[in-house]
Amino acid sequence: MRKRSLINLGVILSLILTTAVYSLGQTVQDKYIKITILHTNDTHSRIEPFPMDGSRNQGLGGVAKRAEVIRNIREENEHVLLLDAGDYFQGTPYFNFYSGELEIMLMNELGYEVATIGNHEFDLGLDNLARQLGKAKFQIVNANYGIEDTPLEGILKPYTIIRKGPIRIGVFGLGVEMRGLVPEKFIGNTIYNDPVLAANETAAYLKNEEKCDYVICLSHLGLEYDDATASDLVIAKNSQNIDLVIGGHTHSFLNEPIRVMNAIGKEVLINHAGWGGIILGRIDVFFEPKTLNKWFKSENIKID
Amino acid sequence: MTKHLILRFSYMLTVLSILFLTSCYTLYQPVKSDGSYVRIDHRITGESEAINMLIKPYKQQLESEMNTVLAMIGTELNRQKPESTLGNLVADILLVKAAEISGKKVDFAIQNYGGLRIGQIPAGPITKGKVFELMPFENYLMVVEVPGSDLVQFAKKMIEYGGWPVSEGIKITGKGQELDGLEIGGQPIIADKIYTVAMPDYIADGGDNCIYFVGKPRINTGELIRDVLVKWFEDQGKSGDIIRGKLDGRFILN
Repeated sequence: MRKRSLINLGVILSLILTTAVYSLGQTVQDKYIKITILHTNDTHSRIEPFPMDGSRNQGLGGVAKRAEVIRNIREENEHVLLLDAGDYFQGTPYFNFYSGELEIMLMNELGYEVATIGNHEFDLGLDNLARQLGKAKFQIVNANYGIEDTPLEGILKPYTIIRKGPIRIGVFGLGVEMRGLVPEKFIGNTIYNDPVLAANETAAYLKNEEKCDYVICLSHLGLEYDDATASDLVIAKNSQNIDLVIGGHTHSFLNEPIRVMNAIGKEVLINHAGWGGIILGRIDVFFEPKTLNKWFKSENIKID
Repeated sequence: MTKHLILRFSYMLTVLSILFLTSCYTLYQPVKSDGSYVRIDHRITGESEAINMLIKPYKQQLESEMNTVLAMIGTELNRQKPESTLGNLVADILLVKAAEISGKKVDFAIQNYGGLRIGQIPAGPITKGKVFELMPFENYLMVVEVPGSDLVQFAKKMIEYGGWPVSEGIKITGKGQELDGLEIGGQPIIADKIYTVAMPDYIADGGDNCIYFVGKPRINTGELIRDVLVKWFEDQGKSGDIIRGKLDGRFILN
């Protein structure tokens, strides 16, 4: 009787263990989830490629080509997130004639999911900005402008949460100080709040309360300044809960994303994509489940 | 014994359930990130037809508008420092138009060099599109009242910048980095006299470190500088006048 029970126990145990190990092993096989983040900034109404006039950028860019590139990447990758870091307005007569309408319609067609606003979005005033952004099918985020007494109220949100497969991605926006860049009458009642404070508050909320797996700061502050002016580097270094800063404003072309240590010694990525739609930025992020990581700590799984 | 076995079994089940549940409610963490860039150039041969169809009506309307010929240019206009045919012409137009719109006597006009976005306008027909290229930004024409003492400081700033476009009515002479002479209306500048100066709102609001105009009494003409230029060229075209640039030594750097 006793012997038999032991055998029974052994059978049951091995059955359970086999099932457990098998199912967990399965998850280990495909436990990495890839999110492909595509981004532009400072496209500046460059609807068509730069004109063939002998200038440095001639023939580069163009929304129709960008659309094709994005379509191909979406075909090859399951989870693609398309972002813009501001200043899609101003720079060609398309903006002067149509006040930004075509820029927004094209961003809708390209399937942008989140954008922030740059200083040039204000170039025809707050009413125009609210009217044009009202046509957007994507989310528009900024966490450091006070907009309660402006037409942007209800249109501009501090953050948004996007789900890609099982991954929750929090995206919030930051905008540059507009005094000196934008005429007073166009700033209206927009209040500029400290971007570092706004960033840390919003990012902490997204990570801790909203349980986001990944937090993206969509910034129009500019990459870096000689003085203490708030920039993407300042934001990243002083942060605790931001994983990635997608920036703009300084029209920076980088050879690779910048990696800096944040306030608690964790790595933060910063990326920019030049301007004028000349390049499309791309960040591929690989995720693994936190709980599995505890059970199966594997260091040498190759990711392709 | 059986009871013992059942206990063991349920214990195992509990462990398994906990294991299972925790693996279902999973938080993910990023473990690796790669960055790259796609250059949108001639190697990308495909274009989205849907996008092109969306652009088409806007483009056609824009092109017909932009290809409108406003006037005829007699000789090529160039943008240079300290003084140039293109800079002089734009500043002279601002002077005439600022006086016309504000109804005030304007002493002279200035245009920041960086605000002129093309280096030359060739001889021949000038289109509306060319004026947009010259002045793509939304700058308004302002009339500002400035004491002579501030204009002296501003003239020094312009010398530091290597010379800026100015209109008739002002004559600046610099020697190296020093201000050597400053005349307004043919008379040496008077420090405590108030002069009336036309300029883009960008400069009036302190752009390009021109702090001298911030807070000074002003009139906003409410007209975009680009619109003012378009209107002026249009009028020349209608009256059949051929536009020629001129250099008259209004800004000299020795």
